[in-house]
Amino acid sequence: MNAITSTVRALIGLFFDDGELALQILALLAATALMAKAEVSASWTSIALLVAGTLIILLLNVTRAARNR
Amino acid sequence: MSNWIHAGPQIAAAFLGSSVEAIEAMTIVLAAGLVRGWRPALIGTAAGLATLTAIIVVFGPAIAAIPVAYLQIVVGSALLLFGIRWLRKAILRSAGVVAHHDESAIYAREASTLARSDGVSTRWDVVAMLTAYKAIVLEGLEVVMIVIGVGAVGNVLLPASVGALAACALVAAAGALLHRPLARVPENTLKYIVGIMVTAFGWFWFGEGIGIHWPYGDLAIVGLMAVLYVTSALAVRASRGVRMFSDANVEGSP
Repeated sequence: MNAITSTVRALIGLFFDDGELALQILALLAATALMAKAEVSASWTSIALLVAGTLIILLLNVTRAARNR
Repeated sequence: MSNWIHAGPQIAAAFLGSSVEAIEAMTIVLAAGLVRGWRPALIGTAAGLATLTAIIVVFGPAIAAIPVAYLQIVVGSALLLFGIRWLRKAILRSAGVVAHHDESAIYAREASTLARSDGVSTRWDVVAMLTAYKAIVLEGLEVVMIVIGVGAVGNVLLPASVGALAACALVAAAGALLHRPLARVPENTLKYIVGIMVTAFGWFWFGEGIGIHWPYGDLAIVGLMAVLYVTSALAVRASRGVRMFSDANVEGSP
């Protein structure tokens, strides 16, 4: 049972190492999908939101980790 | 043949990502083999490989049944989460915020735990078998994830699988020859590169899935990798600066 629990935990850890980062990325993906749906031709605005949003989330996360280590 | 040339970035991502996972699995199998005996370690390894094969045989055909747009969204999201996680770790390691992955230290820790474990080392040494089995299944699942992620949507599953298998074979051969962990492989650099590649694929597939028309089609992936590289280099510098500032403040405080 322990082996199964640790395996499941490790599997979840593949994607959710830092829970806050993963949740922020998922929220960004949902927002981008909504924006793309609202756009007549999903392109630049959605691309900008997806790419810039991910990079800002990543930058804030790593600098916070550096400050709190 | 043109499909294989077209699949160059996917093969490279699968090869590099799988080599990192294979090195991690091999370190643990080596520790189990050298400390507790090769027979149980190899039995555990074979059982792990059989489990992985069964997972692929059972779940592999299901992927083909998923509509492409949904597959792009699911795979793109998974790749993005997976890639960002690797990239974050690589940035923090490069900035000196967290310690580098050290295969020799992991090997020493694993060997020490195995040596202290109960039970006599026999042909059916359960401790050694389970240790090797768990390492192969967990690291192998990451390899499967990478291969599916970079290969399933672009219909280049076979070339990506070949890239991954080549990496695993190479690492296994090196381990069999050297009988020690591959500590000199620049694992953080590999993780950095794979993190950039996988994140770029994640953006691209997710975007395609929600109807984004990427400028220049597939070539946009190269541009996305460049953007990620530049930003992550900035992130390393920023994190290093923040770390040094924090350290100076701690040292300066009474």
